[in-house]
Parts: sequence; C-alpha cells; structure tokens
Amino acid sequence: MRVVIAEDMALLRQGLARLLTDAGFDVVGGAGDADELLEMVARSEPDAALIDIKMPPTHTDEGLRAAVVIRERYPKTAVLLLSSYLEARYAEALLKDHPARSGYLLKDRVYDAAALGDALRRVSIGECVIDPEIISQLLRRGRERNPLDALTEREREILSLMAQGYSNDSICHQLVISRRTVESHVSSVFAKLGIIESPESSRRVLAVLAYLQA
Amino acid sequence: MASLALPVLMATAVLALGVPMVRLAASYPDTAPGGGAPWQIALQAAAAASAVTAGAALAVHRATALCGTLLTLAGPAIVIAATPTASARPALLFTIVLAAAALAPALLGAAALTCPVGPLSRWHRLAAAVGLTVAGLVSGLLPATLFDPQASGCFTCPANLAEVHAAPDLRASLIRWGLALTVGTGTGMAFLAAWRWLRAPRIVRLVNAPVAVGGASVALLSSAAAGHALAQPVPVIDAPSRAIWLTQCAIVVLMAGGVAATALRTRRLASQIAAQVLAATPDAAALQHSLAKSIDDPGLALVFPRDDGTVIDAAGQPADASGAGLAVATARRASRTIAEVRYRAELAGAQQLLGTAVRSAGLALEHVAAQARLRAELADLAASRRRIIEDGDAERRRLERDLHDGAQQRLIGLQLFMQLAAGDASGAQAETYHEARRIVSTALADLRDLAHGIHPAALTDDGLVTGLRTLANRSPVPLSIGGTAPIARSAVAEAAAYRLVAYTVHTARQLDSGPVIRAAVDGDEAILRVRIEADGIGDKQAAEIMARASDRVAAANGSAAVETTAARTTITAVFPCAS
Repeated sequence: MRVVIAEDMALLRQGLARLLTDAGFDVVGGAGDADELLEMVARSEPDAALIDIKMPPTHTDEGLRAAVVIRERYPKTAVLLLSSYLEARYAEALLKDHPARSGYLLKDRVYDAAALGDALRRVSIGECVIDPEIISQLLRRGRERNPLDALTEREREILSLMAQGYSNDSICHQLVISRRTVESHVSSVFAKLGIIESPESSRRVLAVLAYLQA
Repeated sequence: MASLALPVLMATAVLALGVPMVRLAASYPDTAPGGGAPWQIALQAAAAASAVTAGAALAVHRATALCGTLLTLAGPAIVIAATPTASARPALLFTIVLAAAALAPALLGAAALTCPVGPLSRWHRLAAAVGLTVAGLVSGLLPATLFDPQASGCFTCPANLAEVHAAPDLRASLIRWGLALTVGTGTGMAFLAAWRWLRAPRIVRLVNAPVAVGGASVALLSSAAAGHALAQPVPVIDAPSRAIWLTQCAIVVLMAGGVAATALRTRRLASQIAAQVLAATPDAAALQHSLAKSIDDPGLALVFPRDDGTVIDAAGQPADASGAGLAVATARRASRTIAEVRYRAELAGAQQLLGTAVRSAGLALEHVAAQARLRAELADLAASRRRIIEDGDAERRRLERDLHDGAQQRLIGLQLFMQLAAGDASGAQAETYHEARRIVSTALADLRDLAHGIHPAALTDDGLVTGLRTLANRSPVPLSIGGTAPIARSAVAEAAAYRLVAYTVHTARQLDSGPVIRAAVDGDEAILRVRIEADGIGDKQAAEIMARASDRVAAANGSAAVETTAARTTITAVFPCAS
C-alpha cells in the first residue's frame, strides 16, 4: 500500500517513514508543507496520505484544508489527519463533507505501528476513522439523563466501535461474532438511543458523534 | 488699575474743560457751536459725561477695551467741540479748542468701527486711522499751526500757542480740504461700521448695537456737517450746523443708555445662571444649555482639559484637543483651567456676555469638571483592566501554541524513536525502551491537559460555541451547550463568557450533589449573551463563581446577574461586542 507523509518536522517525518516501511507500507514521499503534499499526491496518487494538521506557514489548519482538497480531487487517495488535540472538532470538520476514506488520529498514537497501520488500511478501504481516545472521552463525559446506562456492556462496545468509524464487517471481525449478531446489536443501540439509523457506516459516524456531544 | 487711570484722567479733563465751556457758551451763545441755552449746554455736558462713563464701562472688558478707550477719549473732545473758539481764554484753552474741535465725531466713528462684532481687518483699522488723522491733523493741528489770530483780524483773541508760521491762505485751503475729506471719512466710517455690524450674528448685533449704531450715526452726521460747511464761502455756525451737532450729542447720550441697558441684561443673565446653580444639583447638560442660550449658540461645547494635555467632554470621553476654528472662554481657579467653553468664532463679539455667564457658573462648572475627570479616570482604569486581561490572554495563547508546536511535537518524536529503538533492541533492553516510551506517553497526556488548561485553543480557533462544546466533552459534570454563536466576535467577551462557564463547571466538580449545568449562548451584531442554569449549585457556590469571574466580566464591559432558588442558580451575562 502506497502512502505519502506530510509533516513539517523532518526528524519525525523520517521516523514515521521508517516505522511504516518496517510495517510493510510503501512510503512514496514525504512533504514538509501543504503545497508539497498536494504536488506529491497529484504526481503519485497514493492510496493514503498521512497529514499533520498544523504545518507552515501559519501552523493553524493547513493540513486540514489540504485533506479536504485531496478528498475532492483525488477520490482514490484516502486521508488520515494527525493532531495533538484531543478534540472532535477537526474530525467533524473533515468528516462533514467527506466521511468516507477520511480519518483523524491523535498524534500521540503514531508510535504504535499496529494502530497507525490499521487506521491507514481502514481509510484506504473506505471506512472512516476517529481516534478511540476521542470516543472514550465522549462516552465518559457527564450526562444529565444518561441513556447510555440503558445499554448492555456489548452494546456500549459496539457503539464505541461505530463511533470510531468501524463498519459492521469490521466490527464482526473485531469482536469475533456473526454479522447478524452485530446488526441486531446495532439496531438495538439505535433504538435505545433514538438515533435514526443510517445504512452507510461512514455517515452513521456523524450521527453517533453528534449524539455523543449533544 | 491701569484700565481705571484713563477714565479718571478723562473725567478730570471733562470737568476741567467743562467749567470754562459752560461759562463761555452761556456768555457767547451765538458763537458756541451747540448754542448757549441751558438745555443746549446741559445736553452737551451730558454727552461728554456719557461718553466717559460708557467708555470706562466698556474699557474694562478685554474685547471692548479699544472701542471703550476711544469712547472715553470722545468725552473731553465733545467738551472742546462745544466751546466757542474765539472767546476761549486763556491761551492754552484757545489753542486746544483750535486744534481739537473736530476730533469728537471721528473718535465716536472709530469706536463704532472697532467694537467687537467680528474680526477687525486691516481695512477697518485703516479707516479709523484715516478718520482720526483727517479730524486731528488736516482739520485740527495743521491749520492751527498756520493761524495768527491778530493777523487774521481777531484782536480780542488770545495768543495761539501752536502757531508756527502764519499762512492764512494755506490755512483756509487746509480747512476746506479737511471738510472735504471729512465728508468722505465720516461716510466711510459710518458705512463700514454699519456693514460690519449688520453681518454679525443676532446676539452679537444686540450686544454691540449702542456703540456700533450710535458711533456710525455720529460719523455720518459729521459728514453731513462738513458738507453743509463746504457749501458756504466761509464756514460759520448757523442753525443747521448747530442742529447737527446737538443731534450728535443726543445720540451719544442715547448710546450710553444703551450700554447701560446691555450691562443690566448681562447681570440679569448672570443672576439667572447663579440661581440655577443654587437651585439644582449641577448637571453638565443643563449647564451647557444655559451657557448655549446665553450666547445664542446651540453648538456651544463644554470641555475640560486634563493634566496630561488631553481634553474631555462632560461624559469623560476624549474631545478634540484643539477646538480649531472655535472661540474659547476659559474658567480658571488658582491659575488652573477648570473648563473651556467653545463656541462659534463669529460670536466672539458677545464674549463679555458669555464671560459673565461662565463666572456665575463657577462652582457648578467646577463640580461638572470634577465629575468629567472622574469619569475619564474610571474609563482609563477600565481600559487598563481590559488591556491587562487581553495581554494576559494573548500571553496564554502564545504559551499554549509554544507548548503545542514545541515540546509536544518533540515528545511525540521521542516517543516514536523509542519505539523504533525498542524494535531494534531485544530482551531486557527492549523492555526498558518500552518503559521509557510509556513515561513519555504519560508526559504527553499531562502536557496536553496543561496546554488546554492554559488556553483552550478551540475557543480562539473556532469561537465560543465550539470552545464550550470542547469544554463539555471533557467535563465530568453534565454540561450541555445550546444556542448559536453571535454574529459579532469579540475575543475579550468570548473569553469572559467561556471562563464564566468554566468556573461554574470547576465549582460544580467539587460538589457531590449531582449538579447539572446547561449553558446557552446567543447574541447579535452588538452583544453576546450567555445564560447558565446550574442545578444543584447554591448561593455560596454562585458567589464563589462570580467572585472569580467578576474581573473578566467587568474588563469586557459586561454585566452579570445571578438568581438563586433552592434548586437552581441562573447566571446571565451580557457583553457588548461592538468593535
């Protein structure tokens, strides 16, 4: 699988390239800013781009804006955003228009080759990815009347995976249960929480995120 | 006292010249220019006394000093003009009468020209100077130097002390020239003075009417008298010339009456303002209104200079420091300027009216000035507090960004390379690297919390609603965020609203009463409003929250209200957002 990395800190970029190469990815380029990244994606149309949100010149949201451009112009290239903010706002901004083949991972997690590789593979096959830490923060937050209390342990688990962007297929692999069982759990969670079910897994992430933040 | 010296001197001169004038006019009524009947003598004496008195009254004010002085000088000149020349004794009086008989109307015309109805141009000064020169030199001193009374057939005349060289023909022609020129200068001064006066604003015309109109009339009549004299082979005193002169004297008496009436009017105004000051707590708007009315300028402005050289209005707001193009009256106390009254420059001619009004308003002005300065100082303090908060916030933002872009990124790199090193190593060494990597991960999580505590990046990046949602996502206390972001953005207002909610959450965390917080934001182009409903938070905690938030609320010029019932505390805060 062919990947480009956009990260302005050269040492970190090199470390990421080595980590991904070791994990069996084909790193076809490293960019230090958004322009370089867009050029690289245009040239080599990789399967996925790993993008730091804050890049020169302003170090605000160059990476996010480049990711939106990539999702619009290069349907074959998936994007995975990296940031140190444990906040849902960047993920929501990206997923709002382009839920499929997009993801947001906490930058603290990039040392973990397995988690990073898994996230890259998932976005490249069309799922969306939201960092599990963000979802667990949302599940933990205080709630006035907590409808989550009505969920069983298994249902909570499935809600968390849905929120992280897993499709039903991925969930049944993850939990080693049948597809039918997953589907019935998903229906039950939606019924208990009163969320209108969306057939497409990437769209349903937004509904769940909105629900968890309400 | 200098302003009193001249009137006293002139009054003395009027008396000294007046006694022989009365005696001579009564003894030689036929040759007296104004006649010798008791009423004629009385009218002329009254005119002289009026000119000195009215002139003295005007000379004490700066604006009317020049015309007042000219009017004062006209007093003795009137007495001289009333004296029958040929009978004047002794020689000194005879000489004075010879040289100065024509001065009085010119002095009165010049007074009319110089009364303060507007800026005094070069032309006005020139006209007055020419008028006085013609009367004093061409018609007065010069022919006097050429006059030998005995040689001219006046054997009873005393000696002419001014005689330099007898030249009767030259003298006769000089006198005719003087008369011809007086026709011009009298008319010229009269019309110039009248034109100036007519163009002045109403209140200025009113205040200056006696001197301007009276002086101009006298000047015009002097031109008529000169014309009448020119029409005769030799100038003589006849019925028309006498009638003209007595009319001029009557005008001077009326002029003095007018000056007195104006002074009375000014005093009445002063006592009205003084009464107002005593009747009510001084109010800047009412005071400004009274002053504006006194000079008939609705645009009149009351401003107060501060020690730093800036100028403020009654509300304590900065005013234009220069007041360019405006006339200024100042109120002083112990050499310090308390207040300035700015008014239309064209009204400067009525400044004695305003000056009186300002003096009567003294105490009230001081009070209003002190209030204005206090307001300005409060505004300074508020601005300073706002700057301190803004600077502090900017510093926090910078710290958060530095932490994020610096230390956090390096720790992420360190973590990654430790993982890579662990992959390269084996056994116990690999485990050590893993252990070190876990420590760095914990440090990263700590640093992230610290950075968020220093400054919530979501607030400045994406606004109040997103900032509050981020706060809610982290909050262990149930916190729901409602409403929509207002159109206007104000960093200091948003920061204050955010902190108000954050302090509420912080206070609620320490309670085990199961508090629940609902925050709603709304607003428009001008204001930002936040409403916090906190169930399970009581009086004491509400006071704690407000104590922490009050400085920020005030720094953002906001206002907050707290309402507490047994079950719920509601905090409502409104902040202005106008840029």
